[in-house]
Amino acid sequence: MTAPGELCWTGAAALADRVRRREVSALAVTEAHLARAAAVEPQVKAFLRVTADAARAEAQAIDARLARGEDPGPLCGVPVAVKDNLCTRGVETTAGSRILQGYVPPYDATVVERLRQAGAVTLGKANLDEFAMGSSTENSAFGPTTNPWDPSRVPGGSSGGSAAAVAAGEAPLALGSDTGGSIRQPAALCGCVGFKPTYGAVSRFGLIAFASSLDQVGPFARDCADAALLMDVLWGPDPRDMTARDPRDARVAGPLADLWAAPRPFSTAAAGASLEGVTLGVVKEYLELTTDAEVKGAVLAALDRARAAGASVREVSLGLTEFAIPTYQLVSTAEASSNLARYDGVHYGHRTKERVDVVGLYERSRAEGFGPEVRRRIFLGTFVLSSGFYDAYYLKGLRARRRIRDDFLRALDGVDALVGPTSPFPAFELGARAHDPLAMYAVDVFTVSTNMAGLPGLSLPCGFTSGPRPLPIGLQLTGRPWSDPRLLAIGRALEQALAGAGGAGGARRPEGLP
Amino acid sequence: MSARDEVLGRYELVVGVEVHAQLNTATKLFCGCRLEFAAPPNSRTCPVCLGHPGVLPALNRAAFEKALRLAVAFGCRLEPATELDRKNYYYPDLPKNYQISQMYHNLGEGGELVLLRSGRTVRMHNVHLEEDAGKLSHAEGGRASTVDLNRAGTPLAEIVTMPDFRSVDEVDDYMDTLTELLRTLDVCRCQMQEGNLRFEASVSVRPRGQEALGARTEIKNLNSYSAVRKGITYEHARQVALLEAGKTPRQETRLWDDEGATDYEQGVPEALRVPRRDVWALLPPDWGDTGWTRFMRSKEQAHDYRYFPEPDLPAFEVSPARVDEIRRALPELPGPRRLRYAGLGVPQKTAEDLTRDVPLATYFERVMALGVPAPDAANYVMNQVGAALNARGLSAADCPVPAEHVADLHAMIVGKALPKDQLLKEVWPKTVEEGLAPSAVAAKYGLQALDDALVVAATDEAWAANPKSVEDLLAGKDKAKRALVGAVMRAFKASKAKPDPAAINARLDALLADERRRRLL
Repeated sequence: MTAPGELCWTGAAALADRVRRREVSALAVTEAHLARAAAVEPQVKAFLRVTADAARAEAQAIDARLARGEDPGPLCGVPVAVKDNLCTRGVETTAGSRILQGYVPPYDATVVERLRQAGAVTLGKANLDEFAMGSSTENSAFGPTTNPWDPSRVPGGSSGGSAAAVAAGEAPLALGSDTGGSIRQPAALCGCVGFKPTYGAVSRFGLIAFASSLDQVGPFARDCADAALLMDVLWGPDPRDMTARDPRDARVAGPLADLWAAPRPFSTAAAGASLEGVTLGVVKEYLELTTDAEVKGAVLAALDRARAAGASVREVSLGLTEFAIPTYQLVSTAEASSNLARYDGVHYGHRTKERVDVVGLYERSRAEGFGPEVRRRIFLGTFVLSSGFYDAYYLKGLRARRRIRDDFLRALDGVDALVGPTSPFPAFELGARAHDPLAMYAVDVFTVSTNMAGLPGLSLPCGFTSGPRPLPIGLQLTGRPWSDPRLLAIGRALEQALAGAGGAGGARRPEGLP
Repeated sequence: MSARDEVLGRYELVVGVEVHAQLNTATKLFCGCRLEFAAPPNSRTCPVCLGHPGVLPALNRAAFEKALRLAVAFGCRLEPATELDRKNYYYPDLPKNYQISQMYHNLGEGGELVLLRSGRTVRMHNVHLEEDAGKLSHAEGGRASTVDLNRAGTPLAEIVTMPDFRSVDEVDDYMDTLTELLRTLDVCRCQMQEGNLRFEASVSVRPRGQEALGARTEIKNLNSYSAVRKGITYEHARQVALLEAGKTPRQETRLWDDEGATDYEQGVPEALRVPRRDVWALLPPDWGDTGWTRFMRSKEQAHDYRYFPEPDLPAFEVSPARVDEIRRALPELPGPRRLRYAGLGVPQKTAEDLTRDVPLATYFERVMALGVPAPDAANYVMNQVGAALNARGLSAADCPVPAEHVADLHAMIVGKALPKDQLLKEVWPKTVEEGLAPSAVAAKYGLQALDDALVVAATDEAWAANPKSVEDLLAGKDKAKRALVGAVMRAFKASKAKPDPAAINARLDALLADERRRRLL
């Protein structure tokens, strides 16, 4: 019999096995995580909403199915935290914005539906930067989440709640979304694994849109094997999302279609993970831009480990790195300005109490409902699309985006994955960048291009800073389009090579938490 | 020539037309909600067409195919891939506050349409696909507005012409021609009163002989064929009145308003308005007091729609092979169909009436396929079948009488199974009512033709018995013939079988000829 607290540090795959074998009930697993959340939430504030009763009911339903001899699925009884920009039927979904306060979706996002079908238990809705716009979770209208490793620091963002919940032992798995680094960067800052799939690998139906051509849903876990387990549930085409593709079709994934042919392609690939014969391309510009010596040192040390485990490492160049953030700002804000137009106080969400005409209703409701960062991006995006500026900004942004993609595909030629730090620095202090938008945007310098190029990206823990409160350091792997199962397998092999080096986050628990 | 005609005659009217045609698909353009006119408000909605957070559009392939069929029928240039765009503007009937439409890669560019009445060719500008908005209603007293989103997401084909019309009659010709085309292609129901077809006209005038086009007015809210005619007529008069007053029309958007013009040109600067009587002087004499175009916004006040490619939808491939397939599968279009019918001997007017009603034309084709010659088939379909449909308010698609019964009727007429008059007046109504073939009706009621010899004998008898009538007839008084026919008919009063008046007439003609010959000798 495991102590209830230990269940919170057991991985998802192991939990699912033990529940399936009925060594422990799904309800007991859920209760352990609810208790953990009750203990740490006052400090971490990873959740906007813990749906304890619903979680217990779901867990009991899993136990009942097991009692009837049914197999509830690969995530049998595993608790999952869901980022609050993913719609959950009957459970308030706000995207971290006052404008959606009280909004209860009448439907489940496709990924949430897939979680339920796989036997997972949804614990609650995780905090985020408002509409996923931010890199610290400080833009949440409902207050920031803190970093489980140091409560004076940010967890990263925008999926900061999801990352912190996994890192603090409140959930073994979480769903996040990544538009410019919103899964990978908080994973790096919180010391867990975060994966952004190839654009189109996972359905976006039910993901509250920020920038439609960049947004992807992806998993958080404490190791790559668990991330693979969740990816096996998430990926696949969806008739409700025409941008979700079927990579088993060679017209979509080309020769990589074979990677997706197995029934559980991610777990299958991760199980046979090895660095033998793998070529990694270390990105020259990313190392140059990493001024933090400990971050740079940890990444270089990890590369030494990779070499020792059989990988070959060569230097590659991404010459367009300096254009990544401006290009991202053009494309993402343009789409956001249109995507967020529906929040107008007419049909649902916040409506001003003032008595005004219809234009006043729009203006007041939106001014009251949106926070400053969201307003800033709507202004920017509206400007970028304005008549007379469209060609100079948006079209140019699209052209730059294609060039950046070409730059990546060229760099990926002959290597299996690109390597570098996920973030140029570890978790920063709450408030340190909150009032300087440009400094906040710069946080995403290594992550935004992946989205613009539509590539898969993975962040995994590769070490810690020194000092009295060590902070996790994340390493990013970027693969070619539709190489997702292989990329996660390379991550798995690398994390095994790093194990025992004091690197892997899963092996270490945040100190100072209750 | 009236003063009005003289003034208007100095200027040329130039009109382009935009049509929003609701495609007659079962479900909406981007979700599975059923399309149904007059369903309870907001009962045909789902998270997608309500624009809930997180929803995505999934294209209805049937709508895409219908719009494509239309573009192919116009002979538009088709791009190998077509993309949808977002048109951003705020309005409470538009749940997402953007409309998914097309701007940068229309489904079809160019193309043309030959007008059915005049035979003139109108050039098309483009054909594109977009979603309809909901319906906003303002409650009495202005205290509240309500929105019904049943219509939101209905697929629309927007059909835009070049400024090729020079008169209201040509626009009228276009509306008829387009309506017939849309029905023939089975892409739109074309019920104006249900909003299936909505017109916008862009109108300008220029002094005759001038090359450059004048500034155009876009007229919205043209919700009936008559509103289209009247809106253009009014705008023609207004712009000419401006020019006659030495003023220059500007580019602006106006709304057709059927009601009174009590707030005539309120807020419009002096340089852009003329007294009401000056406009009315150029309107038709029977115009009345109401009906005008109300100023809505100037070019400067126009929306910046901030179009950009719809990122939630991929580009849709339009392969040349698929286009060929669609082209080959196109039904015969109204123009060629009229010509073919006329070539088969169908009178011009009947050919037009038949093409206008696609199900009726289909019925007509079935009757012809059963071996009935075209002119006869057209005659039965327009008269006997048409009357039966009208009496029941049915479309030919739901005709209760099978085409075989029409063919049977024709065979009985040609074979003189019964007098034609009796077949049409007595047998046909029973055919319609009882659902029996005409021959079965005849059998059921024991109707049979008289032996010709009996009719001849009876006619000879009447001839002998009515010397006065015979003398009148010989004197050229044709009325006397009717008396003789009546006498023969009376002889068969008790009989079930009726003589054919044509047979009596024929015998009378023979007797008359004999008698004349005899007297000459």
